[in-house]
Amino acid sequence: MATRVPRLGLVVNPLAGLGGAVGLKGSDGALAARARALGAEPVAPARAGRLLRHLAAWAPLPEIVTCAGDMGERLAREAGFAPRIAFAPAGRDTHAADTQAAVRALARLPVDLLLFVGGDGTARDVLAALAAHSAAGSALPPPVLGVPAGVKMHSGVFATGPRAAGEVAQRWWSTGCGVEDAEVVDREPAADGSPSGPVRLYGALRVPRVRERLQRAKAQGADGDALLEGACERIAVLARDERVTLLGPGSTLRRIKRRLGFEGTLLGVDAVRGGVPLAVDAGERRLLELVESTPARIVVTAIGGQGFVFGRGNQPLSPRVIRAVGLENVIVVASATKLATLPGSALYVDTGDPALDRALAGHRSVITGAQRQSICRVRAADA
Amino acid sequence: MSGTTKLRRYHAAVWDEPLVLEMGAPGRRGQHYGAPSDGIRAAVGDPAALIPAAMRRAAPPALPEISEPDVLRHYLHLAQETLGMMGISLFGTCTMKYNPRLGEALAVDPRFAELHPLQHEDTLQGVLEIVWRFDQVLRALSGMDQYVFQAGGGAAAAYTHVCVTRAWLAARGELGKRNQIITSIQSHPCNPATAAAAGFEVVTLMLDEKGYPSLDALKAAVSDRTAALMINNPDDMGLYNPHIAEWVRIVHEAGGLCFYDHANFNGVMSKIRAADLGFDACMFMLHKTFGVSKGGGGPAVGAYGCREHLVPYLPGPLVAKEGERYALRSPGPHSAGKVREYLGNVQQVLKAYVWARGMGLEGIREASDMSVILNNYMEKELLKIRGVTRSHPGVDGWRMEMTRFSLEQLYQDTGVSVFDVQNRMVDFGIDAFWLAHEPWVVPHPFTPEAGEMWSKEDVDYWIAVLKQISDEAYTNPEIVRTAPHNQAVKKLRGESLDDPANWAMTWRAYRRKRAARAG
Repeated sequence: MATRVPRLGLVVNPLAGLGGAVGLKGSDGALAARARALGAEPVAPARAGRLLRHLAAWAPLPEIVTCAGDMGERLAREAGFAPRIAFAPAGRDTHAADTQAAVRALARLPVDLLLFVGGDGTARDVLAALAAHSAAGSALPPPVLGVPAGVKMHSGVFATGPRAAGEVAQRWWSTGCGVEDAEVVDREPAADGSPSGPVRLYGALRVPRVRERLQRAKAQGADGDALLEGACERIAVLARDERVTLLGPGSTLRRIKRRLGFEGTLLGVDAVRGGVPLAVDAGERRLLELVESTPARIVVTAIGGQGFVFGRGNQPLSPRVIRAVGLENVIVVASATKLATLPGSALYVDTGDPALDRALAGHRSVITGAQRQSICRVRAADA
Repeated sequence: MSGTTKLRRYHAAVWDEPLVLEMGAPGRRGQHYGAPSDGIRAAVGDPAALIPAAMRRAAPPALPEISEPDVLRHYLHLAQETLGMMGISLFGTCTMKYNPRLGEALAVDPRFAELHPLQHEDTLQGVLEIVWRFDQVLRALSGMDQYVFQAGGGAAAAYTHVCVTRAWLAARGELGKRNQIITSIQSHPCNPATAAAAGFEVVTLMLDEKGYPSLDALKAAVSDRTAALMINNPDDMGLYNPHIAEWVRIVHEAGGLCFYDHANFNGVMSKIRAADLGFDACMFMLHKTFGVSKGGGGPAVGAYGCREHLVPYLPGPLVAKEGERYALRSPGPHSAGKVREYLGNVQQVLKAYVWARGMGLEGIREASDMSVILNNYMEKELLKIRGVTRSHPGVDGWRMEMTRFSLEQLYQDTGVSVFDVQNRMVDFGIDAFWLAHEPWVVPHPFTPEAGEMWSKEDVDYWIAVLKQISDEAYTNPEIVRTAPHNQAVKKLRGESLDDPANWAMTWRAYRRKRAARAG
């Protein structure tokens, strides 16, 4: 139980959510200006205000460190705080670079918890800033918690709402219940530049390990996590045999890698044999070398939100690698909760080889627990 | 829905009632008993000596010391602080029904209540006849050849099926080889749970665009490892899978058994029979479909029935009619063994029999029709409410006795969640609605089920309450988010309920944790 007053960092992206009200798919970059021209009102200030009113009811009051003007200061003062200012944006209109600079400034202080108000685009800025913070050899970056205010919120770093964010922060601080990784995902730019492409995994942020943090509206299933641990152990047992096991990206696969005793990569493909890592973050050529003369298997998961198992973020698992391993040796592992929330419970493949995509399509088993599997339909993305 | 429904003013009683163990005073009693008179003592000796020494407590139990009227007032206060079925309760998937007083009265009749299960069967002819007769009722409704009522609930009946499946596989030398049980994501959750508990691997089929799994998914799932299919139909979203007979054929061809979980029987009562569709076994919940009390109102019964070829594997004893008398018979050496003692909660079987005889086949058929018609009326009205949609909007056609709705639109528009709406409903004196089994396949789900129990006026009132809450969400969302306001207990902080430091299941644990917190 913590006895000192927590120092909470707050970064508000004042433009977050602007595009949603006028039917745009985001508020990133030029879309914000377009949304304004269409008469959109910002969403983030009201959401941040609600969070701050919750924080203002804490006893004792937390210390708030934030950014000048609309990025936090004004709202914090309205809520009765006398915030410390760690960063001031150069102009009136703020940009992604301002969010990143603000996060770096707060992480340097440091803060106990970094609260940000925005959507998936803001989460990506926070991720990039904290990655830079870590790369600079600074201390461990603070855990973060997103207050949903954007148009896109596919990432797992958000609380269910501003008030919930306050409750999660309070519970995390008062119980010391630790942190866990949550994925940052966002839509890729489509051909017209709008963020309406497929969902891509960008990385992971450490967030408070509080069950209520989950966006319960999107995924409900209290037993999902325990079942997934069983699924991961089932795969870990397989990965200790004499076959080469190629483990794809994603936080589910990282659980398996950690069970095998190595950190592995979140975004890349790792290879193990006999439970021992052979290659970490391997490219296509290295993977082909590994599976050329040894029986192998591929283990992948579905990227949350859209359900891609091949062709999003795991490009080293190329058509040549998949064919060399054999389609019958592809194992998909995912939580039952994640499968249930996929639109139509469908998985997608987009390997770049239409014939291979067709061969992978159909109904496939997905491992969801130690003694559980689900039958899901796999579709070729361009079919 | 005609006219405007006037919402009643309501407020629950608030007693701030202490725990019964915090009440009373040392030495206070409900009744005082004097010492036995000399005559009694001379006739029976020391009354305490009547209790064998091994059964006597070393110290008196730590019971509340409280007067009889205080006990009555205490529980009356607690009852007044709950809603439990005193409002309109459309608690979907549970098929909440009124429990006819006649069945309740007969079950407490001393001629029934004071029977002992170890009496000789010659002295149990009445109760055995009731069990046998109700077995015949369920046979008529399902086409099965034998029922057993041992299971103390629906999940226990599903577990009976996996036990029967194991015994059947063992007798065929296939135990261990056939180790998978197939079910669907929207089946009764006890299907995968009991399969896993019995050591089978669970193979779950996901839903197609039509709202139920496709035949291709089933074909991909079956193999020489398939032990059984466990499924309900319609599922919890009210969607009936019209290909179910084909499903049964595919599983049978693969060598597995087929079990029909009739958790959602209300909409198809007397319309279909499990055996006619090819199923090997099925289950009814007497505490839901057959008007028997549930949810704390009394013990439950999962009636498990099967075709002739599975009878040798049933738990025993079975009730058989031999000439003009009724007898208890063992299923034989291949029996799966008991799942519960004796004949099960036989008083509930009596109540279900009373319900079934009272309804008659025509009544049961009419009740089934009413449940579907009322649901579809309700659906039509609910979908007029802003922020309400239904699952699988692309699937045209009627839902059966319930519909899976979603408040996702309301949440997106107002930030008011399905939990907030649930909390607000009780402010109008009606029970909170049921959401959905997990994992959710529809965001912000809710699933009302009126069955045949509620009048159109009641259903209209329920709809009017939801309409009112939707209006509030769009105009004054804070009143919904901070609900309930008119209840004995206000909004709880959910996360603290997950913390073992904050709850206790016994008085001893309560005292220990409270002391730990204080110290």
